[in-house]
Amino acid sequence: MTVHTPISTRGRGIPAWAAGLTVLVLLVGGVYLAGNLTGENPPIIAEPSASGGQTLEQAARQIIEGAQPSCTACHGTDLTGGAGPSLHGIANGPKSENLQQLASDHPDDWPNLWIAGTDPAVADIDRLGMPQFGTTLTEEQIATVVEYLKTLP
Amino acid sequence: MPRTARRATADRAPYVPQDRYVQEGLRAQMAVNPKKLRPYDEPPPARRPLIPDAPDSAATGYLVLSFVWLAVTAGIGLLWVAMQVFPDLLTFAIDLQLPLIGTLSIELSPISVQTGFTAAAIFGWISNAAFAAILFITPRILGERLRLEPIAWLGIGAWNVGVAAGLAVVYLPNISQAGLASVFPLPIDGLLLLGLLAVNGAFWLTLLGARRLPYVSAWFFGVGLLAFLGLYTIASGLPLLGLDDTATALLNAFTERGIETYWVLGIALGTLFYVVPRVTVNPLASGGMGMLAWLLWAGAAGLSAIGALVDPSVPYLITALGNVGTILLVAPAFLAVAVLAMTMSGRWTLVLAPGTAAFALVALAFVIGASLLDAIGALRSVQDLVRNTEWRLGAWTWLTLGAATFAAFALADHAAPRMMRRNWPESPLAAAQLWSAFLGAALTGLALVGAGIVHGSLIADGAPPEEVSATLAWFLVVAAGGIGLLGLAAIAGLVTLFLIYTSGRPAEYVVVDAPPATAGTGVDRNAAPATATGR
Repeated sequence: MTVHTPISTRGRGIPAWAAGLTVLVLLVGGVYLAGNLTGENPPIIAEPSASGGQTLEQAARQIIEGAQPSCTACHGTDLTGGAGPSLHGIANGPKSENLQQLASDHPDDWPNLWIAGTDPAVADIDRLGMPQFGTTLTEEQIATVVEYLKTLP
Repeated sequence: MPRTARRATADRAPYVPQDRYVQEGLRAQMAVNPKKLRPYDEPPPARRPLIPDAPDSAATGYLVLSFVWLAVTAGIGLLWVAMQVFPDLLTFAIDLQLPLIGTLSIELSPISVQTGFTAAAIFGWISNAAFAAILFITPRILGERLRLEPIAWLGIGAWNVGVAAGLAVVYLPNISQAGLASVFPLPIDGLLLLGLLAVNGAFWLTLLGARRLPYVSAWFFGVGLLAFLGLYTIASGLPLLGLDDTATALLNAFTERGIETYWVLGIALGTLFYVVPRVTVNPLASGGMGMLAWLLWAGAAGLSAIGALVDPSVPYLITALGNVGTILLVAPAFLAVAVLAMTMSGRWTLVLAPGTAAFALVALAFVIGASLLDAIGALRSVQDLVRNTEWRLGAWTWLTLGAATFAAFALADHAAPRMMRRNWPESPLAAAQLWSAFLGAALTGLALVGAGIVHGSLIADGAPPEEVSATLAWFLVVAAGGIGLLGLAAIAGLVTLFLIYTSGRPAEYVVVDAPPATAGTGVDRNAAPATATGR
């Protein structure tokens, strides 16, 4: 019984250029892998923000650098300190003496209250030049910044 | 007789009206004078079974519904773009107090609408078109009747009811989950898996019963179907595994990317490997290149899915290996496009007129474009710039609404007259479908990719959110226009299908409806129609 192939093929071989192209792409892949053996991935779970689809870091950095005045002007571009104290490690509590009482009274949201500066709970604390960002930033924006700051080691 | 002469003769062949027995599928030749027929000489009227089992009945159902879903996809896509431009105007969430059910929350947000858009595109449009392609092509490349045709037909109901219900619950945050493939609740996942199993069963039983080594399209279909079944099963079972949020998000990302590379890209390539030789009436230029493309695709597609595992808990080497897989996908894309372009050799004039060849050529261009875009997006420096921006959706658009969509259009243009047994010359609607879809997919993809680059750059420069939103709005308006054009293409496709069925002259095409015992008669069983033109 003769069975015809429904779609015939002109040839079974692989042209040399096709084999060469395949080897070339495999080599490019190998070279790329060799150059990217080490590194660290960003977190997959990102907090959504008003501009949509940003990671927490992207959204927070946008607010930090866009605030008037910018947070980095006093705390440094990497937030490790400048005219103001370092903002790294605030997940473990405040470093400044003037905020210890606030942190013990409001352990969950003391950074939010301090950055906003508009709540009666911080009215009697010497702000040492820290602006009241509650007049220019929304509560959500401040919360985004605080959440990001808590991730800094 | 030379091929051109044969086609010209067929073009001039006068139309011979079919007698009603032939139209009803009863091909008995009446050797008597019909005027002398007495009532009891007439054959009994054909009985239509409750579940159609005629050749191509399931493929026809999937094809028609796929175009309906394309129109729905375009509608949801327009809403998504509008929500990006006017988020405050269109975003809302309400709680309804209903008897028996209690509180029902409905949420219309950019995230829920985007999930609806991608789910409608993948599960509604692409998957229905892919099922139609598999069920239409498989019997023709194997030369045997499709097994389990009624089961495959029942799968239409399960799959499409599932997709429709799933798209409804996307907007019910209390019920839906996170992630594309696991967004639907378990009962809906069950329906979708039933539909998927029905098509898998029909395909594999037909393939395993065949007595010839399958053509390369069947290899793409086989891996694509199994991968889709496996990945969807994993995704739908995620809520049962009790994993933490990070692990769930990682598995979701893995299954989503796997469905793109194995299912969307694989079925597009398998379909093009069938359509191009058929429409050009040329043999495939190189079987070896086709199989090499399949082998590389099967390996690189899996690796590429691993590249979606981006989290500090995953060693970077694993992610980098996945990115290499995405880069390597360029190779099978180039090989497939090259061998199919070589197959078109000598028949290039076909692409000058809107029709199957033109659709296939545009699909091949999008295959190359999408694979290159994905490969560029897999580079580390580019990833750092465009991560979590519109870039990803732009690359997805070129693959799904470009390559896979045009492959489906090519299949529909070739297969619809054969499925409906009609003779149908190309009409201006085909030109409208071609150009509106081409401009739509190209514009949408370019606009979203451009938006991704600009978005990433603005964030890197520390631009305030207002500036980012205002800048991106221009790109999104262009994307909205592109999606609108795709909607027009969907309508043109639907109207074409309707006109083929209602206005096309009945024609007899050779169909694979004989049992396997009579399959090998030495006749190309998929070749020219008996009374219609073209192959």
